[in-house]
Amino acid sequence: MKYFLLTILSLIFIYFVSTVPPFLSINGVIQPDLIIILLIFVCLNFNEIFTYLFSFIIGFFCDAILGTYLGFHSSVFLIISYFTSRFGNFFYKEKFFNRVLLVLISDLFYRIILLVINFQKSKSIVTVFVFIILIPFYTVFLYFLLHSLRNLLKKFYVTR
Amino acid sequence: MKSRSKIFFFFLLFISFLFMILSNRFTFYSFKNILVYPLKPFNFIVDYIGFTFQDRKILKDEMVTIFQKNLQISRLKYLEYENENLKNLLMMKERFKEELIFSEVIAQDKVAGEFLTIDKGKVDGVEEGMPVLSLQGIVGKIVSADKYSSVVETFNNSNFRVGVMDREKKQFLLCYFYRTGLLKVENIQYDSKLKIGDSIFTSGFGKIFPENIPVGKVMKIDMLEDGDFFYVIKPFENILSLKYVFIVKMDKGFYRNRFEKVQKREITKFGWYTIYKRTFE
Repeated sequence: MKYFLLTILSLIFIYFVSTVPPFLSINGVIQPDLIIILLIFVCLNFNEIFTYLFSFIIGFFCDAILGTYLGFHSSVFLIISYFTSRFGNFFYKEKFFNRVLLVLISDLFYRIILLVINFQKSKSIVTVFVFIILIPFYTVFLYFLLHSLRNLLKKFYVTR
Repeated sequence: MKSRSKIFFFFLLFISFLFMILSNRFTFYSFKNILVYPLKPFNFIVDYIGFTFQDRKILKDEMVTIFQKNLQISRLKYLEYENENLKNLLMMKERFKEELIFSEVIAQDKVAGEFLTIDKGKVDGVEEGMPVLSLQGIVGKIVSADKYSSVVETFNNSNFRVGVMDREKKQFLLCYFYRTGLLKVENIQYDSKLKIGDSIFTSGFGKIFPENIPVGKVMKIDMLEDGDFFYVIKPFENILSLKYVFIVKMDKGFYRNRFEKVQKREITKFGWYTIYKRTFE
């Protein structure tokens, strides 16, 4: 039930994030990859099989909404979730810095693949800069903010 | 466990790649459409939210800029209109020998347009009885002058009358108030050659208005009950949309001389009047 609810909520969340364009974006251009943050969160907190299924469903859903090749997002998300779950074997995943690094690498990977796919469209160096540098760092910044908010709420909850 | 999850991962990855390879085929398009179909009810909400958060703001900003531009354009148009009016008023200064007092209309009787209030008074040299003109023609005369403002009795007032003549200065008549926005000329001679559309001008006999100021056009020729004809005159100026006027400071000596000249001309014209004059002088 918990997994089912999480998936449904995630789908609704992704739907709104992908279709409402200015959601947390800067100037409508630098749009953070909140889906990657969600994916990393699920990968670090849930078991592996659910993580793969979750990434697959979410990716499929993203393809349906965003109009990319069916299976593109699901395969990318699957690869990200695979490496994220393997990441815990080599590093101490509870450490905040490691998590931030994980988000950054995942987003960079996702953005590079997107850039390669849309290479015909993105000829300008500015677009490449926005795609490779600004968006991943903005996503990391948002992750940092969300993490701080979570800690604050946790603190508040414990003291109450 | 680990091998199971690995197998599951590769299985899903394989399916993903399979979908990717087959996604260009027609059947997959319809499959994709089916996948999106349940989301259609949400589209309305999302569109509304999107409109609320982004488009509305953009539209609002655009509306404000358009409104500001329109305001600027209308302001420029008004300034252009005002500039043209003021230029014409300055040209009037060259046309008249007399001193002119330029003034702005600050209040008016909007129903009948009988009276105007202007922003020049006794301080500026305005006196009662002075003629008030506009760029189009005759307006009225000053009936009361205060320190800083004056009241003008316009041609829409029932007491208004002015001596008029035709363009060739052959007929000298008296023009009265007829209805709001209209004047009439009575006691027309039978040999009158005024036609509909002809302009009439002030004759300068009334000792109020200077000579040759346009009054209006003959709109129609009407008949009185006793069989006499009268002209209905449409004045050139519309009192209700008047903005700038000017007052002519008449030189009384000059005016009298001119009147005498006209008298002499009259005497030469009408023989009986000459006899009358000679008899009594």
